[in-house]
Amino acid sequence: MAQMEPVPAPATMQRTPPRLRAVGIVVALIVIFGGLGSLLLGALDVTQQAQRDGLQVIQQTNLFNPAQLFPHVFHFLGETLGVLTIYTDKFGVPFRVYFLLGAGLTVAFCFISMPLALVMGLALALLSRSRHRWLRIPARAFVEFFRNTPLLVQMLAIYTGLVFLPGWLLFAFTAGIATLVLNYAAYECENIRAGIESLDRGQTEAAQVLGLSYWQTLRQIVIPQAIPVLLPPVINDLIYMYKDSSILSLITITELTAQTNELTRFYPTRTWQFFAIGGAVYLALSLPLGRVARVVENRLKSTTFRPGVDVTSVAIGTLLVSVAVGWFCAVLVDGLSVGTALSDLNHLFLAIVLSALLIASMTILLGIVTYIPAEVWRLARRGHTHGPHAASPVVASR
Amino acid sequence: MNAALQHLQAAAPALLGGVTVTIIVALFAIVLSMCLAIPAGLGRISRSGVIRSVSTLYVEVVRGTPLLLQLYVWFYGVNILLGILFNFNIDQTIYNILTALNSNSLAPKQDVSGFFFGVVGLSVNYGAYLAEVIRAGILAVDTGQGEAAATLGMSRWQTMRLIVLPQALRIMVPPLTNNFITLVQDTSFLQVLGVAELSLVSFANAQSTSNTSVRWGFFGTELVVYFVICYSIALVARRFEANNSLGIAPRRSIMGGALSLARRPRAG
Repeated sequence: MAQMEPVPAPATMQRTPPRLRAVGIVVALIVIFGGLGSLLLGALDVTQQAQRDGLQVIQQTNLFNPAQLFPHVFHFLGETLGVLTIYTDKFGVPFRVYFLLGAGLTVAFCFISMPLALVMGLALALLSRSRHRWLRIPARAFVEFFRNTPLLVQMLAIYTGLVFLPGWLLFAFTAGIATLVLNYAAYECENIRAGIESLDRGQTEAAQVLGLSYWQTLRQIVIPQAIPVLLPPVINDLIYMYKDSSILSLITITELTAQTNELTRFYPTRTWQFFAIGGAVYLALSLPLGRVARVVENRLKSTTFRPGVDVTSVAIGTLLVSVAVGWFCAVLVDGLSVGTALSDLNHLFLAIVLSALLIASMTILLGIVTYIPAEVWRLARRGHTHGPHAASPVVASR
Repeated sequence: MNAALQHLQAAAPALLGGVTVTIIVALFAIVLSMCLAIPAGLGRISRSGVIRSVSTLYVEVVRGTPLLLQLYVWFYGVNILLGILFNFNIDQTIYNILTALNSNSLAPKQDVSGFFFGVVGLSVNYGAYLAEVIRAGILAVDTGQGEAAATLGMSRWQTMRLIVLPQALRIMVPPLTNNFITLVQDTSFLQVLGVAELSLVSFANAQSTSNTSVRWGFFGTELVVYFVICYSIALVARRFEANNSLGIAPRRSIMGGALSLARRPRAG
């Protein structure tokens, strides 16, 4: 290679002193973001004022004049603070109570539905890994059907379509939970299957050699090793469930989105305050969970999982605690008393019954619909070359 | 059963119109969200702190709030905001544009603001999720590639264009297609804005009767249509996925490839 002489650095690459650069960047950021932010807040405030006082406010205000802009900005910020703290609606209820009630119901629905979805997802995962085709095909049909159809459509179908179910079993609360459980059971089935299949085959073979039954291997060998693999996707799905719970507002459940919507409808001069606070509450619920998910993922990746405790029992305990927390949030929202506690417990059991009923019936229904074409497909592919043959037990059931 | 078929037959044109609207909304949203996601995703890994913080703010806020709330913000907030501040009415604007093009008879006769702000809201929401997919795809390319390119004297832009992006695109395709499938499903949210897409048409028809079998005829048809659309996209995507059966890997059946979807269709 030819020798290269060192080339002197061109003048354009000489840098300004670091401290001056830092100060310059900070000032530029403050000016740009502060200026744009103030313009935005001022515009929002002017719009809200115009909704109350009429459009002439727009013509009289020049937002690019700081003397007119900053009163609007401070008014907007003051209104936000007021809504958060002391402002009340015309019934004397502080606005923040509505947000707390909505957040409480959102948390309740998520903390109740996720464990149920995990349990039923586990059942589906085990079914879909079965040796028997008549168990495998309905489970896979259920999972694929509920993953490829919209949650909103499922929810409306369950709430308005199942009119043959009695009114004490199917109402807003149970229908909402059943919908979330059905949809998320399909996704959790895939996550749990990924966790179970990440296991070395030798584990189950060794368990068989040791004489452990199917349920014993499941409880003591498979699930403890599958949990580290399935935990990050499951926590991510919990975050998605927080956001998907907003569709419950369309079934007359007064969770956070419904409360925000109702407040903006009745007090349109504070629309943007309510939207901002509602969004902030959702962010306050989902951002910490995202942080937790990343921490869990990093910790499970870096060290091998050496638990000192019975992992399955801890997992079952966590699910039960989660359901209890959800139930307690629902009780808080409905008014803390023995009567509401018992009625919410009743609703919870009915929701569990409804979810189980719907999953069983949809699995059977979809299984019947899918089994016949699946048999036809199988016989058409292999029938005339091999004749009917038993499925080899060594081959992975897929 | 007969009643259900009769009602379905009577409503078939409306249902087909709904499917058309769904597909159009999905296509618009896919294109717009990719237009938003590429700068946001690249901005997330930018060297400039300003661009990085703006992109992160956009992605985190939009990913942390529900789509329904965002649609309400766009339709009941931004719509009124633009109307009051700039006298902006999307119907009037479209009419003016088409008048300038000498074709204002093509202007839609119904209210388009639901469609417009629905598509915008959907695109902004999915732009954030796709930005994360793009970021993950670029970061998944081995850092040794970038280092080797630097030793070869390539500029950062050349590295990105010639080395990193081609490999990143191969990695990105499965989560992108998963997200597009979820986007098609999420067009059903637009029914709350009054857009006459498949969910709204089916739901309105189902609500108009009290006959259970007729209701289930409509719901069942709607679910089957959504399933057919999304599952076929999934099958086709799995078939042409780079890791599956292209190249020297042994060919698997379409079903085997499709049934290997093991992750929720959003990144991060």
